[in-house]
Amino acid sequence: MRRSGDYLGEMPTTKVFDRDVELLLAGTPIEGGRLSDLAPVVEMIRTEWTTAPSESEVEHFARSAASAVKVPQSVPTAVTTLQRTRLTPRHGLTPRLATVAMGVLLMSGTAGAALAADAAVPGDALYGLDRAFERVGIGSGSTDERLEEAVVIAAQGRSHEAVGHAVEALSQHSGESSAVALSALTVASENLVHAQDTAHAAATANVRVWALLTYISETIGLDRGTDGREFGQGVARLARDIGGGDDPTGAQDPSVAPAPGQGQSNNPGTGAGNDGSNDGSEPGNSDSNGNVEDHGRPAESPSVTAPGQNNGPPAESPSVTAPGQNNGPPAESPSVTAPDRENGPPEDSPSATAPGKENKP
Amino acid sequence: MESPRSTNHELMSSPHPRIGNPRDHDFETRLRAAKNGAEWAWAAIYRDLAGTVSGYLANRGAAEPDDLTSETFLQVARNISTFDGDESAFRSWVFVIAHRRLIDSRRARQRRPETTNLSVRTGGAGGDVEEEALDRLTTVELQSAFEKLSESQRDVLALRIIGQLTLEETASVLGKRVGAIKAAQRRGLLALSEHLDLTGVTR
Repeated sequence: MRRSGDYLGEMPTTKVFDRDVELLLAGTPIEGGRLSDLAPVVEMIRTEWTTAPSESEVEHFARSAASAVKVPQSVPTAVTTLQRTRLTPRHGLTPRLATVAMGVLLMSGTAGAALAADAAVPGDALYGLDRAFERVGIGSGSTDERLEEAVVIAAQGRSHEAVGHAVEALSQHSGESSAVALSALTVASENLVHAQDTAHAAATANVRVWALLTYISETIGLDRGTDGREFGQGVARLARDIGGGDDPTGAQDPSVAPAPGQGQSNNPGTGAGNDGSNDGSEPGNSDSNGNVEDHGRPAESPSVTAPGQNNGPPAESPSVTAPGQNNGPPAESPSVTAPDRENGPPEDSPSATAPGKENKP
Repeated sequence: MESPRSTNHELMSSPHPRIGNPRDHDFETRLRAAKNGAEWAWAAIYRDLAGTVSGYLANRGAAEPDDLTSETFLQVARNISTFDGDESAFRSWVFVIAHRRLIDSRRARQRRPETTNLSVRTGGAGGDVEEEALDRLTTVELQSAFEKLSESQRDVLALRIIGQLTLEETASVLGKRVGAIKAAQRRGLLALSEHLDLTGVTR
C-alpha cells in the first residue's frame, strides 16, 4: 500500500478538506487530493469488516423477525370484548378445538389466550384457536378484523389466500361497498392468475394485492361517510393494476386516492365451475376438524356459499369462488401446505389445498 | 479533487452504495409491510443492513458480533411499531440500537474496549492465497493503526465507513452535532494515515 504525503504538514482549509473527506468516504476516487492515498485504506476497512449475510441467514432472520413483530391489534382487546361475549356460540366447535380452547381458558386465562390468538392469521398455529374464540364470541371476528387479517396475509406474500380471505370477510357483510369491493377482488384474482409468469411479476402483483386490500381495509370501515363512487373507482383501479404494467408506485400507496377510472368492473363467471371441485380432494382437508369447520360458517350466510360448500350455485357468487380456487398457492408461499390446513380458515382450505387444480373457467 | 459530484448536498445524501441493496419497493411500503410482520420486508431490511451492522460491531470490538447483530435486529423487529420516519432515520435508528447493544455488551464483559482485539472478518474476500496473505498483513497494520485512534474517532469512522451512514445519520446515532462528527472524522483520517506511515510496514 502506497503511502505518501504528510497530511498534517499541509493542512488545507477545513472546508475543502471536509469536502474531500466526504468524497473519500463516499468511495469516490479523488484525483490528486491529499486524501487520495487513504482511499484504499477506507475501501479496505469497508470490505474487511462488512460481510453480506447469507441468504439462509436472511431467511432465518426474516422468519424470526416476522413473528417477533407486534402487529397492532385491530380489536381493542379481549378484555373489553369479553364484556360483550355472546353466550350462545354461533357454531359448534370441533371437538379438538373445543378441548384446546377450554384447556387454554383454564390454564392461562381467557384474556391472554384470546389476545394471543386474536392476532393470528391463517396459517398460524393459533389461528384455529382464534376462530374458535370468535365463535364463542371472544374477539369479534368482524369484517374489519377479517380484512385486516387479509392484509397481513397479503403482506406475507400469500396473495391468493389473502384475496380469498377478504372475499370471505366481505361476503358476510352486506352493503354496497362490500359488493363493489367484491367485484374488484374478482378482477384482482383474475389478474393475479396472469401475473404469475415471472417471479418479478408475481412479486409486483403481491405488493399490489396488498395495496388493494389495505385500501379496502382502511376505507371500507368508513363507508358510512365515504363517497361510494370514489371507493368504487379506487378499488377498481387498484385491482386492475394487479394485472400488469410495471409501475408499481401507483399501486403501492393505497393512501393515495387512485386516479379516476372506470367504476367496478364485473367479471361474472370467473370461477364458475370451480367451486366445490376441490373439497375433500386433499388429505389435509379431509380430516374431521377441517370438515366440521368447513361447513359451519358458510351455512350461516347462504348467499355466500361458494368457498366452503360444494354445491353453491356458481352463478350466484362468482366473485366468491374465484379467488382462492383457481390457482395453486403462489410459489412464494411454501407455508401453504396441507398440515397447516388444520388450523387454517375453513373457507380457505379448498383453495389452499388444491395446488394441483388449474384454472378452468 | 474535482469531481462531477461536487455539491455538498449531494455528497451528504448519497453515501457509498449500500451493500446488498436490492432493487426494492419503496421504503414506506417496506416499512408498513415490516410492521405487519411480512417476511419479505424483514428479509429486505436484513439483507440491506445486517452486513454493515455486524461489520460495525465487529470493528468496534464486539466479542460476538454475529450474536449482537441478531439481538440488534430482533430488537428492531420487536420495536418496529414504535418507529416512524424515513429510510435515513430508520438506518440511524438501527445503528442506535446496535450501538447501545455494543455498549451494554462491553459493560457486561467489564472490559475496556481497547483491550479487545478488533475481530477481523475473515473469508469475506476470496482471491488467491498470495493476495490474501498480503491483505492479512495490511489488515494487521490497519488494525493497529485504527486502534490508536481515539474512541470517538473510531466510532465515527466505523459508522461512516463500515456502517455507511451519512454525516447526519452518524451524528444522530452518536448524539453529537454534525460539526463534531466532521472534526472527528477529519482528525481520525489524518491520524490514521499518520499511523500507517509511522508503522512503516510496507508490503
